[in-house]
Amino acid sequence: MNELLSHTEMHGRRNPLSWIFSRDHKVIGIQFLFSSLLWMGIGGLLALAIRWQLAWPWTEIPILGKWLFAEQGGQITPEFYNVLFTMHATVMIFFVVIPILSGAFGNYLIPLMIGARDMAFPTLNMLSYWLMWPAFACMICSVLVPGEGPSSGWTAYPPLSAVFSDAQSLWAIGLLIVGVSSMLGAINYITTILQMRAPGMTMMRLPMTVWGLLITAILQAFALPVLTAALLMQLGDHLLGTGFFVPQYVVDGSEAANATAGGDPLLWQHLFWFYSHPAVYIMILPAMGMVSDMLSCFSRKPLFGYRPMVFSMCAIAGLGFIVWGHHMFVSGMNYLLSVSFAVSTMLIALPSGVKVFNWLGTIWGGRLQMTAPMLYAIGFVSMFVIGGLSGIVMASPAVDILLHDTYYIVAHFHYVLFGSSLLAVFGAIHFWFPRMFGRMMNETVGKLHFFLTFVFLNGTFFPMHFLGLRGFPRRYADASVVETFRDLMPLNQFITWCAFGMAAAQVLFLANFLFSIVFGKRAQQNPWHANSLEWSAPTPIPHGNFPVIPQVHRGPYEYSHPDREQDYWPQAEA
Amino acid sequence: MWSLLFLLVPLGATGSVVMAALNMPPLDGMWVPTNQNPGETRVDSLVVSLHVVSAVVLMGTGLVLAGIMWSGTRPGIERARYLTHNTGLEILWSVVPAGILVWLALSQYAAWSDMRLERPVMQIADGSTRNVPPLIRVYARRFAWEFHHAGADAVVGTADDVIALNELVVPAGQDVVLEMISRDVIHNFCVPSLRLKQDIVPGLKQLIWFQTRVGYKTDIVCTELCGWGHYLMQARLRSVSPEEYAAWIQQHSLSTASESEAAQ
Repeated sequence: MNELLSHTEMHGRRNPLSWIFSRDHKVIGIQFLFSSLLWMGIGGLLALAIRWQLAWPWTEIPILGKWLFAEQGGQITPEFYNVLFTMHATVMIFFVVIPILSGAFGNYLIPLMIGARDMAFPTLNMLSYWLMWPAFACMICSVLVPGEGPSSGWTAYPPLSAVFSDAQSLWAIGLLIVGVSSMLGAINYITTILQMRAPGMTMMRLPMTVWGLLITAILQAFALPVLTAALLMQLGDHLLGTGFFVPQYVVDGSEAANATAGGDPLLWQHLFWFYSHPAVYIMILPAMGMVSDMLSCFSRKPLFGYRPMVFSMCAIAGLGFIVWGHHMFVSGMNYLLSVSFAVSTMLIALPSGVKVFNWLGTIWGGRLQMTAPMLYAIGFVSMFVIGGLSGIVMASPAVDILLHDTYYIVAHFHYVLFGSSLLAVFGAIHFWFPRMFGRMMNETVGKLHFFLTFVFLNGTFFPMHFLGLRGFPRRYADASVVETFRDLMPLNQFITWCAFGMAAAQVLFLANFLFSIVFGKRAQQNPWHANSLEWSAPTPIPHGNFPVIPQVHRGPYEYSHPDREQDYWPQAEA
Repeated sequence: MWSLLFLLVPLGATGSVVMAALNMPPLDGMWVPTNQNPGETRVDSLVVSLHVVSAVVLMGTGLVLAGIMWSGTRPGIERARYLTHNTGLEILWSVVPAGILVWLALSQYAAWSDMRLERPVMQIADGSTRNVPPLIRVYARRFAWEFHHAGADAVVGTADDVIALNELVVPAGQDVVLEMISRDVIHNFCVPSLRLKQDIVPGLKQLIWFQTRVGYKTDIVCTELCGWGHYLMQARLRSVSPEEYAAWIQQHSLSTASESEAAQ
């Protein structure tokens, strides 16, 4: 391939199908980015409806209430409240965080960063995106099932999940398809990274982003089959009359038909968390990688302790497979088993801590450039410390008796998933936007968006720790009906105001993102003076990425090298 | 300037946690509710010590982060330091946290053992001990609690049981053992001030135990999602002196007996 053509040059502007069904990893990455951002908006609206109900229970929801719940006078029903939090979690986890990290950035960055022309299996790659759409359709249909909607939480514990059969079956089928999509992506990423690196690109010269994505793909490849099997078993219980997870066939009252099925509800919990705990790391390891790259670039300093950073990621992934039981301390699981899960959970804090220290070491003594992506990256570190520490508190089974299923848990995972992962995503969008769209995002608006999001996210999620310490349970539609929790209403209202502030701040991001795609300042090839290979590809990046496959001479973090006048040293430069 | 924003994170977080723990307004009453279960005191100090460790780490890393940011953004820095690693420092910041984490993992064990592994025992006439038998059987169902109290024969599940709906009366000052069964989906028996939270899984019998002082009243809530009425699934707990409890049982077993006779 001597002459590489840009996408439009190759297919012409008039054939949108060639863009829609593209096998170019960059196009697929951008498709994942757009659909994830769209779902982020939907998931955010679901969150606002939840917050509205918690602050002002059973009052009319502004604007949307009249339209959606006309029959109930604009207010939601308790059944629908359960659908709201079930779908908020499902959407945010499976349609936003995982696809935006692995799907969008994984696709876009892996071939560019390792110096490959595309993924190893471009058609599989296209399929991994297009499988998301049947999954979207299943989830939307599941909510529209008359009188039900998936309302047993994203954890779908049987026997409760067996009560809502039709909606729950659609939900499970949707999730199965997402799993297949992720599996196709994971196979592709592992093969591409192991087999298609440019000459000189040894494993220990890979950018941390690629390491994060590789380990994530390995986690997915090993954990997803378990979820898939568990979902099929749950579907069997719903549709075929099997009894894997239900002790009795008929729940909910009608005792006459209570035939013994012999299933075990705890089996589902073990299988579900065997996937879903590694999934927690699937939702943060790529973000850790991207943050490492941004921190090093904007500190103009090498990444501190590259090898320990890689090894700690591996340790997190390995330990991540043996901590799932900490979700089950109060489940009725053997009490002695809880002890071993507590120890492994405490230990997983160690590699996480090492990463935090290495990030601090990276920016220590640097010449910091406080760009918008740098702020998001530092925000990630700051929020990750809080989310990690509350994790250690909950790792103790005795303390978990107090905190399990309370808002302390909600605070914890929002600090990790919103405060950390999504801040990293915002940073990554600002950082790689010039490569993706050939233009720059507005820095001032970006910084303002960071500031408002950072302030309001803390206002929203930090007070939840106090709700949880008081014992306030999650998944409660109305706190005011329990005398013990009635005095928590003002705090719930404060949280809701902050959540509305945070939502309003996202309008800034959306405007900046869309406006910059069309009108943003034209970007140079390497506007941040970064080292990794994606910045060496021509502008715009053609099909096949590199006119000549680059030769890699060094690692990606040679910033401010004493032998060199410039403070960066691209990997491909001789 | 940005370093100030990041400085506010550890200061605000630690400050508010300290205020809540010390019951200082406006965060008074925002800590774990006062423990009313004299059998479970160790967990309270564990909650405090884990938060103290967390606060120290948060302050440490937060101050270092803000300091590094402040010094790294001063005008006049021409070039960053070329620094790839520092083996001594890395060993230090791996070994010390590892030690702390292992210590935490081991030291928290005692509280768990108190709560769950050591079932209350009673002395019997020949000097040996045996487990305190369940006094009350709890049936959880969507969205209510049924309490079956052992009647005069001191055994639950017999004809003289006293059945109460959504109100749990317990004798104070002694170990009360509950046997919990779900009639439909998974529920959770939770009383924050008694440090109780236990899933009730259909197909399994769960035991749970506690003590209270005389005259204590609080709410029992369900903390495992069980359907649309999950938030409504609550009951009142009331503790009375053992004498009053015996009288209560006797009074209600009479009424239960007469009711069943009437039904027949």
